[in-house]
Amino acid sequence: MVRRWSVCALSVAIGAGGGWALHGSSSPDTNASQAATPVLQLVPSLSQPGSSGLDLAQLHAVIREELAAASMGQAANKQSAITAAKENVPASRELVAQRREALQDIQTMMASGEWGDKERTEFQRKFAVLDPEQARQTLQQVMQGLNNGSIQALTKVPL
Amino acid sequence: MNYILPEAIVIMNKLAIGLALAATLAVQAANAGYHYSTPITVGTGGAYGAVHSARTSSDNNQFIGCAAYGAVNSASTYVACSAEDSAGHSLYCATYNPSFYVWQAAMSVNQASYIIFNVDSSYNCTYIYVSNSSTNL
Repeated sequence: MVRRWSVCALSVAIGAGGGWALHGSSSPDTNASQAATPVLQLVPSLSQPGSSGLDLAQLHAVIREELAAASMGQAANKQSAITAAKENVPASRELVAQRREALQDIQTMMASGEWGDKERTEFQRKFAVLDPEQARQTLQQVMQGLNNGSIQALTKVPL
Repeated sequence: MNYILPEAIVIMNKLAIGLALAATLAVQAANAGYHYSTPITVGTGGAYGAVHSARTSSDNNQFIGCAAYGAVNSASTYVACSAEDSAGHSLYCATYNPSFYVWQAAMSVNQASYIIFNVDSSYNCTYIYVSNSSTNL
């Protein structure tokens, strides 16, 4: 019985010692080494510089690039979600009025029959205010006017 | 009545002729290299030509180019191209919210560009091709 207990105690002591040793060896000094440790465990050959052509610094650089790319992707997704959310929000009365005025101004410019630098610049300014459908239709109308001659281009530049 | 030129003047004249010849050869050397001249051609469904050919044409009509529009506070963008041939025939197109690739094509236009663009019946730009090459200069 005593012998059995002593074997158990010895096992516990060995286990605790091993655990402590492992804890001590994996205590990182820096975040980079913390991030690299699991990778090195998964790919043992990489832990030895020169064995595969990659050293730890290169591996860290690769990891940093991957993390940066991932965070950029997340930022882009967040931005597109914000844009989509903005488009779904109903326009305020003020914005609706601004759009109506911008549309009228563009129609007036088109009706004048001439399209010079002034009209082009003004068109671009007003275009930004329009909602997507208004913008698409207006752009098409200006194109049709320039091509069928109802609007005469005074400057030789693209819209 | 015969005039006899002084020897110094004869030498100066020969020197001037020689220098002029050398300058001519130097200019020719500077313009060497393969070159295409592609004046602007406008049809009902599209237009093509080189920016440099249009710019250096003898008439006052030819042009070709593309533009891209974007604004910070707007989700609307467009790409537009236009051209006019020597006879004054012009074509304009624009694409509302174009794909990234169409945008890239329009933005790559420079003085060495050869451009082709096609339009549909509503004057949307359906195709923009840009080739930048020394041969277009």
